[in-house]
Amino acid sequence: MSENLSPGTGIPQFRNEPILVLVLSFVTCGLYLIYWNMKTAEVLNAVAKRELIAPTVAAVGGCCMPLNVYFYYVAGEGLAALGAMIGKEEELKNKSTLLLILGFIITPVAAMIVQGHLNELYDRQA
Amino acid sequence: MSCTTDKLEATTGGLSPAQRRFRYYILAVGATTLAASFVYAPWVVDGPVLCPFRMALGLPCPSCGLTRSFCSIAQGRIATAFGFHPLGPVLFLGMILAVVIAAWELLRGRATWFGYRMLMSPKIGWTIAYGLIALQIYRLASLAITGQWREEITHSMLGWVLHGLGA
Repeated sequence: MSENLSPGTGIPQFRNEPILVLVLSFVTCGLYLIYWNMKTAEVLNAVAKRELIAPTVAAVGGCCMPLNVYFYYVAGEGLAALGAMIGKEEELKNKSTLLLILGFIITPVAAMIVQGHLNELYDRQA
Repeated sequence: MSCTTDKLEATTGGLSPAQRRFRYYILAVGATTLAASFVYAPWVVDGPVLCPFRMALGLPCPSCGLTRSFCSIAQGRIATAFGFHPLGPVLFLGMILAVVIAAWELLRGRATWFGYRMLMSPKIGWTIAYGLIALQIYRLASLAITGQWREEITHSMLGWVLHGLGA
């Protein structure tokens, strides 16, 4: 699988409009979330420089309760590492709980929030 | 991403607090889900709809039917389980395996290479992802071909909105 890497960082490029993530999630009845989860897991693992999210968990966690709750909890930990890279450590450190709750109630909104923060990273790198 | 020898050696050593936490999570969630499959089985068909996609659009998400599939397996009805969700029995077996491996690793205090390989394998991850995607496309196509999607949407939030708009 070919993927674009951000220059010099080794972090895969996965930039999307957050609202598009929300819309595509609903329009495809959750199909897009499976792909999105896999790609986001790759990015967050590269950001955290460790295997934070297992690909198998990411695949099933696209929509499947309770794995999606765990996915967003761990993604919150990845966001803490991302926050350190973009100078928003304090702001992003405590997002795990919010993502966990949103992941439980309405998964696409949690995905939209995570995508927004991933975009901030790419904006910083640009 | 591939498992290098160094990485494997590092992960088959003693469990770090984060690795321990992850295994406790698998153990708790896996065991609870498996136990719930037996307890919840009598009510599962008439149970509430919790899927946000199904509530909003009336159409199933890729994991819709897994609960019913798991409960059917718990009742020994394997063919019915496949009918509710073709990947249900596979994931049920996977969950049993995950619980056993997590318990074994916690008891030993060390990670096992096969548990690590299975969990962290991008190939297995993408295979599951493509399997779910293919299955979802098939389900949505079936609903479209049979025309059943119209009825499903009518009873959803989207259906109410469309009805309100007079569409």
